Amino acid sequence: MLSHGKTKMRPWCFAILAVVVPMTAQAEDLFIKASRVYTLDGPPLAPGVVHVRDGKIVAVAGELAIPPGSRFRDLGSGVLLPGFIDAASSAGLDGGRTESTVEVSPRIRACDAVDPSHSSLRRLCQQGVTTVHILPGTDNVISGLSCILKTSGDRKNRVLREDHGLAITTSSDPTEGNSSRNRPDSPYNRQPTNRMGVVWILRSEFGLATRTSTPDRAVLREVLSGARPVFCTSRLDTDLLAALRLREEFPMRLVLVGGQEAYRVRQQIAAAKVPVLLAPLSTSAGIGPESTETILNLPGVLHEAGIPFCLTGGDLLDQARFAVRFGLPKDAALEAITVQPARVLQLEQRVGRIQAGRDADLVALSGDPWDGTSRVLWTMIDGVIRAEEP
Amino acid sequence: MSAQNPWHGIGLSLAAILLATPVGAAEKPKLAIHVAKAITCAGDPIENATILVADGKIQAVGKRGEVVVPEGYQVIDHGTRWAMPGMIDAHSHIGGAMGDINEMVYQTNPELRVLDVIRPHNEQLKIAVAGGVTTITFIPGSGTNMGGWGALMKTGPGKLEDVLIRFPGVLKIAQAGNPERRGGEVGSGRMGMNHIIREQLREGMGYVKDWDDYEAGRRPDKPAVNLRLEYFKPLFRRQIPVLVHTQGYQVIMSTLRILHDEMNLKVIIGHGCFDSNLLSEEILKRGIPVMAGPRGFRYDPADGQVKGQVAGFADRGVKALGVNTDSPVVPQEELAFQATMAVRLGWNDEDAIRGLTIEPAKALMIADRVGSLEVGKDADIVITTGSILDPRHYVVEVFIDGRSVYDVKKDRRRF
Repeated sequence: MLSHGKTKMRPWCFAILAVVVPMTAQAEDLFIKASRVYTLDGPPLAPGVVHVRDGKIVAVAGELAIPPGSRFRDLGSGVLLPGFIDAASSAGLDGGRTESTVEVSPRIRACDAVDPSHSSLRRLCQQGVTTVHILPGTDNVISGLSCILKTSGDRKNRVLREDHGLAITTSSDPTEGNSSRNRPDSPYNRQPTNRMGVVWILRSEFGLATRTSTPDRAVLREVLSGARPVFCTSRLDTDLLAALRLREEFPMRLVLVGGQEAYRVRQQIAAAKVPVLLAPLSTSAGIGPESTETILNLPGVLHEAGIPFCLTGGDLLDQARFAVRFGLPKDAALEAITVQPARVLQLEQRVGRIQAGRDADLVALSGDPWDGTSRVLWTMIDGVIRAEEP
Repeated sequence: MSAQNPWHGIGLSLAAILLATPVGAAEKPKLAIHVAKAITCAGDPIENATILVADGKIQAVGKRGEVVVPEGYQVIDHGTRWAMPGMIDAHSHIGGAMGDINEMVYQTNPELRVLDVIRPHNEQLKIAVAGGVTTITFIPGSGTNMGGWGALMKTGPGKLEDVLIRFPGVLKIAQAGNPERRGGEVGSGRMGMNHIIREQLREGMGYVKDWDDYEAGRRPDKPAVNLRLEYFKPLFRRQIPVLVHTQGYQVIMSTLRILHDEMNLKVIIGHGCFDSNLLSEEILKRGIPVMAGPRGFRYDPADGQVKGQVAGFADRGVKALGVNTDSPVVPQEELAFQATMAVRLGWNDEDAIRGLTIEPAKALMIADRVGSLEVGKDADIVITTGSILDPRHYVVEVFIDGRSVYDVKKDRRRF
């Protein structure tokens, strides 16, 4: 219990915090009080206190006894949220997003090209994003392995998974640059030059992997055995259905990425129980990539259809606010940037909620998350504040 | 699904799509449609007719008064207007929306299919409906010798499983013209192209024979599945036809010789232009249907006349005869106009209406479902102001699977 007497110790705590204890100290207890704590595990606590030690959340409650010698931070009217999780990002990838000279490269690893100090990762951290899933690009049909890392922290401990899922696509992206009109000896005189070829390459590769193994097909066999998830970029309704059809033919743990026209095939996606990582929401309705017809309330429509989905691609809080403006319930919007991506990335036991035992990844906002004037005060990763407004 | 299930023995879960029962039966109303004349394409036209529709199917067709309208049927009296079967185009490329029809790196592509790029009731198909076209064969283009596998689909609204009639619907082969190129591989001219078409079909034929032998117990070991050749099974089992882009006397000679005589395939002659109607006797001997056009006439330098291609076949006795648009070469909604031009150049009215409906249905092996106004068939009905062969007449309402999908009263006139 946070007794009246102990509240009086607050100025003393701050003095220690500011003068003696360096910000990176982890072995000590830290208590953070906020006017609201969105635990994503039931309704928000108002007010709430979070107890952090050794990079983990020890406890969260409306009130907590604060032992002497503990650090204490009072956000006043500020609020606390779990660190946001960006489940589909290209942040940090340096030197090209795909190996475009080949169409099938399942062993190529995003983690080999991630620059941990990349400005894009710092920017995500400043926006409150603490965990990011980095996918290779879509210039080839089967592009490679994704990785998951924290947006900041010491290099040794930041990487949550070096090789997570396999990135594939049913979009027309891989057709770019390929043409039967190239010189016959050009490497780009190759399939696919349109979507029929894209789908065929996928069917062919997974079909061959059911019978034979090569180092590349070993990765596909991990997919077919269910050991490795697949992240398939599909934007048009036809391409989303093509991905579901591929999953019918070759059972796999499929996650759809992009999903601009998912609203058109929402019954089929809901029936397949496949989650969707929505591409960054367009702020104007109309035409999206590949001439997709976009709508403003895409997240709201998917929510009503019972499809699990995440908001991705940076600016997650702004995207959540935008989604709420057009019809997504607030709870669902927060889940779409915290709990849902944690679940899709199979990190539920570590991140996504403010709960005892989970990583101390927290975002402090200056006020109500749905107030457009509220801003990120600081972002904490594994118990250490890694971005703070100057 | 047609009665012949091309998926028999194919262990792909894809079959689930094709066997899906049409949904939304509840929203399919019971209708009694009165018209001044019903062209059924199954017997003589019926003056003052009534058509009963239930569960998306035609329940009765007959003289008004003789057909009893049961309780609970919505009566639509079209007065002086005519009814005809929904029109069928055996050769169309607009079932998708993004132009993904020519994958031209290789000359033969039996691995490719349009199934994944179908966009039901897209903007072009909406206008097609207004032109009375209710079924199309959506096929890959003729950029290569073997473009891939087409789908038979309705033009109306619905999900893919609602509009799909059959997949694979047809194999697309192109024997001359468009696939000729200098890509560096064999197939730069007609000799080379026919050589690789034959080689590819032989590979497929061998694959199907292995499976047929295995399934009949003539071979003990199970053949390996080859997805690239899998769709050849219904083709070589003669459950689906090959639609051939073939035009001109010499080209159709090769079509008859290679695809029919050597490979024993169900063949549809697509295009059939220029002087190819001079081969009618050979075509008749083999019972091969001709879906002619879209360019249905040619200037004959021998006598200075413009001659109709379709009439050329018809005059030589070919009855399994229809027209097509090759849309978007000719807009999909102008299918009936292709028949109009054929009539202007010598075809007769009755056969022309059949060539828009029951003949393509028979050629595509879906006449058990579409192509005529007969009891038990899909209620794909086009209501017109009069004979659709007269370009002054137009479509006022279209029913697909018993649902009104275009009505000038609600939708305004689109074509």
